[in-house]
Amino acid sequence: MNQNTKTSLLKRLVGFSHFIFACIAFTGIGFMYLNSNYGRGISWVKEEVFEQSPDFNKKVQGDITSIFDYIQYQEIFETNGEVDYNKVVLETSSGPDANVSYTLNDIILYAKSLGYYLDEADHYALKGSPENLTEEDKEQLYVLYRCYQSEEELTGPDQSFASLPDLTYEILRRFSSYYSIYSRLMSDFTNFYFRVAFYSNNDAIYEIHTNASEMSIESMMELGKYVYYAGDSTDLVVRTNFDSTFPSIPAMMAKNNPYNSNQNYIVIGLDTSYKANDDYAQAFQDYSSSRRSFINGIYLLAVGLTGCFLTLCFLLFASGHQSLGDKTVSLYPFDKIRTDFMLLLMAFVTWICIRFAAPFAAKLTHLVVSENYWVRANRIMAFSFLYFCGLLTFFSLLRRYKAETLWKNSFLYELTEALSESTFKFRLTVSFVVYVSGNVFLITLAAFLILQNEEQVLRSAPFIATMAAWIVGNLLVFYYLYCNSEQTDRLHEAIDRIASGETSYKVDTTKFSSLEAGLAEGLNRISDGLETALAEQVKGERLKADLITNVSHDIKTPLTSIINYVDLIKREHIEDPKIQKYLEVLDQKSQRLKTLTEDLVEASKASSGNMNLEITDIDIVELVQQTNGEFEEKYALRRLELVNTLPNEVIIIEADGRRLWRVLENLYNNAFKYALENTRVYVGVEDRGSEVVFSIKNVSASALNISPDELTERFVRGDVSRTTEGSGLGLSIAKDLTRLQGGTFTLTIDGDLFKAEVMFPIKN
Amino acid sequence: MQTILVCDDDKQIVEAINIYLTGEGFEVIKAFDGYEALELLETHEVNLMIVDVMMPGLDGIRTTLKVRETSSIPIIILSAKSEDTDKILGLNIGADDYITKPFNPLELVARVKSQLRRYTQLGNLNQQSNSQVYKCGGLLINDENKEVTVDGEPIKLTPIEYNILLLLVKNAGKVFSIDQIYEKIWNEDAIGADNTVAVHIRHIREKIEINPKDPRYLKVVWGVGYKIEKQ
Repeated sequence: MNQNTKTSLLKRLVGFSHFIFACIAFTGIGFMYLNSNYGRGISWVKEEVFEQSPDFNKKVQGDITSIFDYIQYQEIFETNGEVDYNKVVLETSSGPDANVSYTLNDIILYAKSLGYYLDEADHYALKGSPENLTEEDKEQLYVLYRCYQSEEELTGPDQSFASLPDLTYEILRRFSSYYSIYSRLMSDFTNFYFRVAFYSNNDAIYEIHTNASEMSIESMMELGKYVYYAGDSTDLVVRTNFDSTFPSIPAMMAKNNPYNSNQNYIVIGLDTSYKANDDYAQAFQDYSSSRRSFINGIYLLAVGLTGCFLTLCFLLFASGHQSLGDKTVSLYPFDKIRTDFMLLLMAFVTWICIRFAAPFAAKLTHLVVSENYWVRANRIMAFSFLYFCGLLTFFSLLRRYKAETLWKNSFLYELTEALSESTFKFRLTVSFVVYVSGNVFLITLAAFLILQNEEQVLRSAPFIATMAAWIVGNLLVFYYLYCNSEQTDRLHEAIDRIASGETSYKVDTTKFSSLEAGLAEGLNRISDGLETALAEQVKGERLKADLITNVSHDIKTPLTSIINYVDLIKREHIEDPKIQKYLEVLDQKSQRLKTLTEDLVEASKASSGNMNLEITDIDIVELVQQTNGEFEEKYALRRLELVNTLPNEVIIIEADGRRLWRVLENLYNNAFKYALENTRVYVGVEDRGSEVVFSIKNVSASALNISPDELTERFVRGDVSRTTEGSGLGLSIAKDLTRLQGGTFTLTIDGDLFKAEVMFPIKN
Repeated sequence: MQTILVCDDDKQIVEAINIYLTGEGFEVIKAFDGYEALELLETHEVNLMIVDVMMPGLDGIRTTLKVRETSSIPIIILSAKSEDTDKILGLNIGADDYITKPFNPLELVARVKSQLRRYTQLGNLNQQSNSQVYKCGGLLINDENKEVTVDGEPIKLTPIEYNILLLLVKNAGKVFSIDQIYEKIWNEDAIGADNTVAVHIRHIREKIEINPKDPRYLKVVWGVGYKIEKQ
């Protein structure tokens, strides 16, 4: 398995685990908030217990209210502490001497006939509704007495009339409430104990309502949570260890007090161990389980977020790279779509996902989430889809950023490029079209809005004339700007041309006006100046080269005589060793003068570039082999061994064959003259991909205590005494000729090792 | 006895050439400017002319042009001007050879002799028309008896040198690379760098050329190969 597939597997694994972790995080959020705890922070888990929760307080408050309701209902429905079904609860009159009394029993039976019933499973709530009421049922009766409302409470005469079903409903509603409270607080096993006591001034007459007659006040107050309030002046406040002080208690006590006395009290105790399986025990269990799921949710969220963060970090680092630590970026086909198009596409896909896929997926969550929280579940699901779509987009953007195609591979970029590349004229036209269309729209709109009440004005001559004048005026401005832009474009072109070396380029000044005319003239002057300067420089170089050429001609003529006559003297075979020695010196020096004059001309031409090159395709390997052939026997004279390292291939470069041969000849000659006898001279050609390097290395006979730069200066030679033949121009000429042909010439000196390199770009 | 006209405004150079040529058994007539040379040509029987370019009065180029109006004798230009353009100009207006100053006396004598041989033997050569004989300027190869002559002078070549020269002369004007020559002559594939062919070429040049560094026949096309100039 190679590195790439390994990395690709790893990346997929990490990407998948990111997905899993994100799912875990979303599940955690679900656990935390898909219940009644929505909107409450972590501090709630830390600080609150069930007895402090708002739900709990609300429940206690409700039960306290229920106690007083119960006290009222007792009066209505009970006789001596028992439900009295024979108690008269309603008296009506349908006419004179047609008074009817209804007992509780009558009402219940009538209600049953109407379809009402008490649901035992739901705290004896009143359920059902009357159907098919007869005309008789709908008859309005005059109410003489109703149990739930005293005469004083009736606010208007119209309330004195009511139909029998309405009255039945009202009575039964209260009866159901009574029954519900009774079943909850009185008959069933409960954790909620209360006692309400009212005493009259006469000790014998009192009223006590309680579900714990055996318990003392003290024992009730020891049950965990308690409320105690006494009507006498000893206590002004409600004594309680609940979070709420239940400020409604004193008012309700006062309202239900049947005696004109302040000898009363209320005590409520709640068994916080919840021994009895009542509402409180149920609520406590629910509270505990939702709290547990909230904490579990926090754990899940923490794990999910950590996992997401770590995997995201890894993916940020690895995304787009074939293998870890690889610098190159490889893109998926998706990443090659134009950036802006991709963003629009992803926005659309996201919309589709949230609109259709998310509700479908949310249906699955409805299996486990109660209906109250479906809206929140849907929201979480929609957000998770948004997150995953966003994640895909983000990583695509990241890969694009890494590959530096984020901006360049977009339609917006192309648009800006197209606009910036085109001429000023074009940009101006585009801006003008936008400007005019905007203006026309705005003005028409304004005119329409102002004159909308008089529409015929739009068609009136003055309005059309004004608009026409406005358009013509704009067009005139445009024409002026257009002419100017054309001039600007012409100036641009001229500057481009001059800058790219076409110094003789001239602008036609007759086509310019005002400010631009001045610019154009200035440009022409610049071009003139450049032209003159260039011409003078060329002329100067040529004069210099010509001078050197002429001087060398003038030197050559007398030199010819010197050489010839020295030769003639030598032919006289003079025996005198002194004269022979002198002749030897003359011969040597005149020959040296000859090479000097020849090299001088070439050096001046090479350095000034004043020569015509015949650039052709050349096989540098062939050239080196040819040069080797020329020098092999010459090197043997000084017992120098020529060692080749040539590639067995054709390497084509573009150069002037004869001039490049001169370069190599000078280098070989240099080695021949200055290499230590009995050493090896290494020549080689190295293919470096886009360029080829010829190198020659030799061991110098004398110490080279000068820098490579100095060596290529004219008239500098490796031996300071200048006894050997040579003009001192060889390396300088080689360097200049190489440069002229587009190559690079480098010399390196390492101790006595002399190395020259000639580098040329390879022709494809 | 062949007569050679030497024309140069530098008297010492004329004198030196005079010494060399008379030493080789030629008769020398001296002129010091173009007009003088033209006058001498009319009054004397001249076999070859050596002329300088830069002279007062009539210069070498115009003198050559004048001479070519009436005569076809070999003309060698001897000039301090060593530019390519100068040489091309000189040879184009009718000169047969171009020698730059300062010159090697031996080379001058050799070139003079070569030109004279070619001039005098031109008639004979034209009569030979054998399919086995290859000719290129003064270079002649008789494949029947494996003889090579340059301007009539026999040249001794080794069998390999002969084969290379024959290949190039047969395909005069065509450039052969080192590898091509190796494959044709040795009948083997050329493997890698070997200086053998280049060395042989150099040897051939040293034998058939008067100045191997400035060859007339076997030219080096640097970086491409070798060829025999078509003449």
